[in-house]
Amino acid sequence: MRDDQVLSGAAVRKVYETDAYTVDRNPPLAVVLPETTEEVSAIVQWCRESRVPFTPRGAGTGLSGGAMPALGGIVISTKKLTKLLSTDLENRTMLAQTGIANLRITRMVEGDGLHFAPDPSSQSVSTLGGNIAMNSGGPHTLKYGVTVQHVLGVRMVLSHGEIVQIGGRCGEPPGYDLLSLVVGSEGTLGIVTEAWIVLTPIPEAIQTATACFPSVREASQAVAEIVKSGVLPAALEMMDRAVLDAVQAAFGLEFPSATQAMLLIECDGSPGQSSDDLHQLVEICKKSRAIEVKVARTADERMKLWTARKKGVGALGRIAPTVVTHDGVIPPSKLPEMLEEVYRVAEEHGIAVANIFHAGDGNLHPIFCFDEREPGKVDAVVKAGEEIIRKCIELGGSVTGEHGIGVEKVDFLPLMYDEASMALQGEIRTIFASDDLCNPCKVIPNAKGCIEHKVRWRGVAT
Amino acid sequence: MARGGDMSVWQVTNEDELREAIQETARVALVGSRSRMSWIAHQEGQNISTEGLTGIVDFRPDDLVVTVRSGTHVRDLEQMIADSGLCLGLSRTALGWMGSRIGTVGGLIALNLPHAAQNRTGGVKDWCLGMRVMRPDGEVVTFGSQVVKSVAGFDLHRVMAGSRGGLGVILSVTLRLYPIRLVEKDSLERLSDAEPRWVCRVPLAQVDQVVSEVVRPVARLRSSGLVWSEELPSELYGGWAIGPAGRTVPRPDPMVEKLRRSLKSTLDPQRKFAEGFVS
Repeated sequence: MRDDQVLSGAAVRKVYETDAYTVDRNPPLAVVLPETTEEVSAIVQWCRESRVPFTPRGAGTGLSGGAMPALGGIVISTKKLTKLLSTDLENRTMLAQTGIANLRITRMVEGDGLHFAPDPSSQSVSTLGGNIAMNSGGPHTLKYGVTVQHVLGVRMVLSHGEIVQIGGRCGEPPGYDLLSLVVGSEGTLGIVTEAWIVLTPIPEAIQTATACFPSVREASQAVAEIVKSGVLPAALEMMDRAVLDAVQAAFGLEFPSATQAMLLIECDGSPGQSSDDLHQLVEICKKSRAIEVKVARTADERMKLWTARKKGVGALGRIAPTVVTHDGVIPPSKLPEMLEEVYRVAEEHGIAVANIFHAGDGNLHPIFCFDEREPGKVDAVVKAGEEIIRKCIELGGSVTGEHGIGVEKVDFLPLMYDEASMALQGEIRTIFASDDLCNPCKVIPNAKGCIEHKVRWRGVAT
Repeated sequence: MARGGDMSVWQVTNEDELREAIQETARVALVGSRSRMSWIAHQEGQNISTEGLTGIVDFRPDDLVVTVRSGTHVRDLEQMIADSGLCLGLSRTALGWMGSRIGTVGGLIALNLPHAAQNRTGGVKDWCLGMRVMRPDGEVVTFGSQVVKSVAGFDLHRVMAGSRGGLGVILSVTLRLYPIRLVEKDSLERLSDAEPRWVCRVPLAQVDQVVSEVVRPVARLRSSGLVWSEELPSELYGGWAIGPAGRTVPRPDPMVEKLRRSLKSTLDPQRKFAEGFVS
């Protein structure tokens, strides 16, 4: 490898000490920028021989610390793994290196009427490899499924440097399913360097509406009605008043003054069907006491309706020095109860909270807005987050819908599984990696050598 | 527990009986209602059936999910939930192997065969949100969740789907349901009335080519690259096929095979569960 493929020094160590989850930090020794699968393999072999831990990293937009070099060592960045290796439009698939940004994939094929369906909010920068590691979702997951449903095969480097191809252009052949273990493994089973992905036809017609409600409860009841209506929307998102206020201040969004929550609803398919579907859902909103419904008539209007959803998190960043986005899942029918709990917990801990999330699949994203320099705030945010996650489990949900376990939720995973099930989760890792050098301290709790480090990571407020 | 001679199928009616049966048997060949045995490898070992583990554990129509015991027949499950306007993601019109609304829920999942509504609802595996599974020592573990979206831990529930009884016993499963309207029609094209013995996944653009080359094609689903046939096509164009008696084509890459062996020995160290594949 060339000299310019290795980065080190104080500034680099600072930049790579966290991903977008900034509560826990630890600097790497160095960062390497391989350009091929074979180079990744050589680096991994060197790490193994030198007993140096290594952590894969895409764009660093992860929200659970998955790309934090927990035990130091080498960060293997996919920044230069951005080649498109083969496009096969006829078969609606593409082979790409995994450092490619999600949205770049869609930009390259949309002229041919195709797109890459997973659309996490970070998609303009987040990488295909990051999406595979986290099994990323996005607003359109509701209809199109998460990343695992759009990956046909991967080429990856295992923890001893071996290169293996699992699946391919036609998906994984029958036999025990390894691809489902790799997708969503948060970079703990090896480093995925190339992937065959599914390109999905862009829907013939897309219909979008927003509906404003006088209370969060009424908006969440409308969501529950929509979920059981028999219509499967392409997206069903909710923004509460705190988000709308921030977007109004930043981008001049207009909404009725009595609004406490807004739903964004999208239906797609044939022009007739998508229009009928949207009409049916709009009627549900009206029956659920919506005070204003806007239906987009043009593509421009459609983009305008998406403003609050797309710009919401950024707008919140303007009103508070620190924003921490949480992630949890509940059955959609429990939304009214769950949201009340979110507001109660935030108030109890004295933290401002805003909610902007994938309502249709019950995937909450409470966003805490605070100033991390204020004494005790980080602790309060961590505690409030834990209470919310516990409530998600109590209501039959999950500790994470799309951000992953990373280091953030290592202690929460056992809330979902008993001891025997957790032990088996730990054993799964050993199928691919015989030790803990590959992205240590992530996903599985109590990994050797991680517990004592934890105190050191959490350095922000001290 | 109902038992006959050595060659017969042991029927269990609850998890305790199942545990007892598994613990006292050195080699177990799991079955459901045995409606799809033509697709399974000839299994050595005592047949133990999950068909007696029946019934809905939890049905939440408002959240589009149901948790059901694995021995429940697919038709019975669909009848029990029909009033809600929901169903499994299987085509309402395709019959036989392409529709696969036969046998038990556990069998449907353990085989994970491609189906006629694949282009609308994804694979059987994609409906599985969580599972309770009995391990070879009788211990019960849980995988996944009860919600449509979760990225917590390794997705062992997806691995169990399509595992053909070789990794553990699926006791119950939480499934995502679909509005009946979504699967009322399908895009399957029937080419003959015969029952297929092979199902092939080939590149989308080669579907018609494979259909023209194969001896006795049965059906095709162009948008999912699927061809059902009586005989194995001579050329799969980089795709794969599943056939009678657990046969799969092509042979897996040695590295993949090694990882699969390692997965098997992690989940079933004594190799108690007979495997349903021949490669």
